[in-house]
Order: sequence, then structure tokens, then C-alpha cells
Amino acid sequence: MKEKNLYFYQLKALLKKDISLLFRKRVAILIFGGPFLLMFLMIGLPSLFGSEQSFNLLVYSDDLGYGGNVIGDAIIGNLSEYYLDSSSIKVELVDNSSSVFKTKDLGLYIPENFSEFAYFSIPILYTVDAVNTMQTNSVFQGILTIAEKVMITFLANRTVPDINPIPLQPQSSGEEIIYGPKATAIAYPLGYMLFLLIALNSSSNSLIGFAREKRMRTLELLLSYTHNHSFLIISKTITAIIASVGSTLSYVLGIVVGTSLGSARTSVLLDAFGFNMSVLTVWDIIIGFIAVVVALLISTLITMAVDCNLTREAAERLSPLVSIGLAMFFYFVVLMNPLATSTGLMINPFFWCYRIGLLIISGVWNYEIILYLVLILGLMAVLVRFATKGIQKEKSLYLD
Amino acid sequence: MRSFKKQIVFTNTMTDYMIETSSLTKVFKEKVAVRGVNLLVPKGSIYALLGPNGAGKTTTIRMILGILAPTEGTVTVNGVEITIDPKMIRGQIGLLPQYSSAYVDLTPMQNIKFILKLNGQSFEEAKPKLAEYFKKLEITEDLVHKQFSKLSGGEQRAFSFIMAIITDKDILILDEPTSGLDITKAKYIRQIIKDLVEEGKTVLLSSHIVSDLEELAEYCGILKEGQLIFQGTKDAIIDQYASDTKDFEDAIVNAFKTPLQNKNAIQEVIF
Repeated sequence: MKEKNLYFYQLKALLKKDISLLFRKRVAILIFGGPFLLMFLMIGLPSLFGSEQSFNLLVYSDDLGYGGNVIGDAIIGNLSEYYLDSSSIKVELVDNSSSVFKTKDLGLYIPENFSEFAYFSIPILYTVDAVNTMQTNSVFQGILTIAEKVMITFLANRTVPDINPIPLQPQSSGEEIIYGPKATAIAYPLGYMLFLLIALNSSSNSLIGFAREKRMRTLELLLSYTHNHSFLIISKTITAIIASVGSTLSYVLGIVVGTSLGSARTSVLLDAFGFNMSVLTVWDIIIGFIAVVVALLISTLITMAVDCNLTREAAERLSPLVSIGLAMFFYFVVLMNPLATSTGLMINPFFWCYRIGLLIISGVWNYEIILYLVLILGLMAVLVRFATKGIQKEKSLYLD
Repeated sequence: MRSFKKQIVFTNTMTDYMIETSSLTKVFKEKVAVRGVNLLVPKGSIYALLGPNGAGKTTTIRMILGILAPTEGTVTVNGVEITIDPKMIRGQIGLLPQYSSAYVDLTPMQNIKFILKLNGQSFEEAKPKLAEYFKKLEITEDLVHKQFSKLSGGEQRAFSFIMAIITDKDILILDEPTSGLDITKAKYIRQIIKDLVEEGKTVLLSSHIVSDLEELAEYCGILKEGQLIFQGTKDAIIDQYASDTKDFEDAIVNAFKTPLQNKNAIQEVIF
């Protein structure tokens, strides 16, 4: 057989073997089933069991007003208006504060000096979440946003704003104005998705990569039969791309199935975990999808590079930590302000993927995109090179 | 007192070696795993590489396979020095590693097909040979399609052995080929190895099983603490280390016990 042909056969054989191992029961359940199951449990299951149940929001205002304006009453008016047609939240006005604080559902109390403090200092709202679930937390986020918008508009224009067209997203910021509503709508769900999938996949990465080969003692065999060791890395990388796409699809499918089973109440959850399709287009979702796939691929390559350069036990302990550590660092910073950048974030490869996604979705075509693209491609090339070099070191052959 | 000089005595005219190493040395950080080994494996022979645990056998084998780079020295396989470009040797040697190494989630047949494809060989062409090995080793059809992890240790070893020889390489490195096998299968495997040598293949054997060594080994190399303390024919090792009992096992044990007198290798090559 000609040498070039043999090279091609070897790559083909390795790829077939790696993909075949990816679709073995245990691995497939982890990589392709895990994200679906998690999102289904988070969104679909609560909806299935709680879709008929609605929450009462007990509201009472003691606000005495200031200068003839009672902001508390304006907030209550808007809340009632906003949730007028909602099947899941019913706003009930009560005549004393103790009813609010004794509620078994949700409660909102506006103290007597609210307007005065709103003019001169920081006003305070009292809230009760007796149920305290993810759904009620999301509702509260909405209530506070409405209260805030009413107060700000009232102070600025002395008029009560129409809340309905205002999306109940986290607080508006300078970045939000620059990047627009699309980036604002996708930023948090994208960040969450990225973090969750990297965390979920970090353990299964070792199943795709070389740690598994070492465990099965097949690495020595592969190294002695494969002419070009970079084929081993290329094959694993292609497998990692398939796993990343499958994992992300599974996540999206989990959301779609979960949402289709749920009621209108699920839409509140979707703002946090899913995608607000009234603002976003399919194209935006695809861009977000690609960003997550690239981030997952980087995570797998990091695992592979660590696997190839350390002994099996050390690699198995260290590689998930590297990926999860970077993902956690990315997520907790992004959680504070999904549209902001910081020096710490700029050295995080997962942020590069996230940021490129946001910039393209918001249509902001600037130097940042090229910079992060170069950084991503450069890092991938370095990781592949590092893994290829590492696989030929004696350490990669040893278990302990 | 023995001379520490390199003493090479050829008692026959065979100079045609399939594997030659020259001053082969491997240092891991500060530990010298293999020190100045000059291995000479004659073509078409069975050469047993012996040594106590940790003597450097596996490291030497890995350098011959081109998957570990030597710190010093050269490896020449079939007349081609592979130290400069290890790619030259990859795929030229059939390997049976010390432990059964196969994809445990796949069936033995899928593992065999993978090894064949990796070597650019067609399954159809290998089928007759495969059927012959299955018959010789009494492997039934149902075993072939069972998940590898569900096979017994002996069955796994037998399939690993087939994976090593099915690719029809001129050189075979077999590390403990009969380990974990029952007496019958071990006997069949020894016979297959002898048949392969008859066909002209060269076998580098590493084993601790005396019955294997007694039946198979034509030449022996003894490694101790990374140094090749002796290499030569089976008779030569008996003469050297068990001249009184003439027992091969005694000879090996005595060789292992012999203290190293100098860190500079004593190399006796008696062919």
C-alpha cells in the first residue's frame, strides 16, 4: 500500500473507532442525554407538575407620597396592569401590611416614606417569597424591574410609564444601550448555557480523550501502529466537535421539549435559561449555538492537552478542574454584568467565544471580533500542538 | 576477576540482525532506566528479553517501537536506523503489550478489524488466517461477537495475541504472550509462535514464564537495573550461570541474582 494511502486509511480507521466509541451506551448517555435531561428537568418537569397552579401576589402600599406624587400607587397600578391577563400571577391588593408578610405565596410591601426616599435617597421595597422556587424568583426579578422602571420614569418625567413593552430583563446598563436588545436578551442564557455545558461535559471529556485510551491500555498500541501521531489528535478533535455539537443540540432540545410541555409561566424561566424568541431570530440562536460549540471544543482540547502531558491519574484529576475552573470564573463574572468586559475575563478562552457570539448577534462588527477569533484559533493550534508533543513523552504512557 | 571490558564473542557466523541497539540509554529525570544497551536480535529467531521487575525491559521495547525517544544511542531495525525518524518503524512491528490492550466496549472482532484497518489491511484478505487462528485457539463464534470487557482474562489475552499477529508483520514483540492462559491455549500459542518463526518472522519475547522460555527462546538477553548483563544463546546462558545443574530456570535465577559490579555495563555476547 502506498504511504499516502496508508496515512489516509489510518486517519479513517482512527476516526471510525473514536466516533464508534462516542456512541457507546454509557458515553452517549452522558454526552448526548445529560444536557437534555437536565434542561427538561429544570424547565419541563416543574411546568408539568405546576402548570395549573397560579401564584397570588399580595400587594400593599403605605406610601404617603411626596410633592403630590405617590410612586407606590403607580407601581401597584402598573403591576396590576402588567399581570392583568396572566394565568400564573394574580395581583391581589390587600388593606394592611401584615397580610403581605403572612402570605403563603408572594408579597410586596411599599413603606410610607417610599416616594420621599425615591426623591432624596434610596427607596426600599419589602418582598416576600414564601414559595421560593426558581419560577417565583424570576417573577420577583420582573416585579422589581417594573418597580424600578416606574420609579425612574416617574422621577424623570412625572408620568406613569407604560410597562408592557419593556422586556423584564436585568437592569439596563451602558453596555446594553450600545449592544442593543438582542445582545441583552441572549447574554445571560448564553453565558449560563456555556457554563453549564462545560461543567457537564468536563467529566465526559476524558471519555472522548486520551485518559480513556490510557485506562484501556490501548495508547501504546496506537502509538506503535500510527505513523503520524498527530492523526491521533486530529481524530479525537473531530470526535470532540461531534460531541460538542451533539451536547449543545441536546441542551436546546431539552429547552424546546420542556417549554412545549409547560404553560405560559415557563416563558419567565425562558428569559433566564432559554431564548426570548420575540427579540431573537433563528440566526441569532445559531450564532449562539456555534459560540457554545467552539467553547466546548476548547474545553475538550484543554482536557486532551492535559491528558497527553501528564500521567493518567494526574490528568484525570486535573483536566476537569482546569475546564470547570475557567468556566466558573467566566460565569460568575458574567453573572454580575452579562455585557461588560474586564481584564480578568479577557484572558479566559470561554469569554472569547461568548463575546464573539454577542458581538455578531448585536451586529457590532469591530476589531474585538478579529482579536478574539485570532486568539481562539491560536489557542486551538497551541493546544493541538501541545497535545501532539505531549503524546510522545514517556509520561503519557504511564498510568500513575 | 571478570573483565569490565565489552566482551563480544560470536560463536557462529550470524551477523544479520533484525534489531540492533547501540549504547541505548534512557534517563527519566534522574533515574537511568536503560543504560548503554547493545541488543542484537538475529533475523528469524526468538529472542527472549529477560530481567527482574523494573529492569528496563518495557522501556527498551518502547524505544525499539519508536514510541519513546532514547536519551542516547541508536536503534536499527532491519538495517534502518530509526532513532533519527521513528516514523520509519511505526507499523512495522506487531505488538502484544504486557497487559491486554483492546477497546473493552467493542467486540473482539471490531478490535481486530480496527487493527487491520489501522495497518491498511483488508479484513477479507485476513479472514482465512483469522479463521485458522480461531480454530487453533479453540475460539468459538459467540466469543468473537461478545463485548471485550465481558470476556475472561485468558480469552482477552488470546484475542490480544491474535491482534498482534494478524497484521502479518516481520517483527513481533510479544510481552508475556501466555500470561493468564490455560495450559492448552498456552501450548497452542507457543506453537503458533514457532510456526511464525518458521515462516521467517523475528520474535522479541518478554516473559517470566519458564515453560515459555524453555520451549521458545533461542537467544536470551538479560537486563538488570537497566543494563544488559548477558546476551547469547540459551545454552550459553546455562553454561554461564548454571554449569553445575544445567537447568535453564536456575541459570536465569542466578543471572538475576548476580550483583552488578560496575555501573558501566558488562556486556557478554556469546553466539
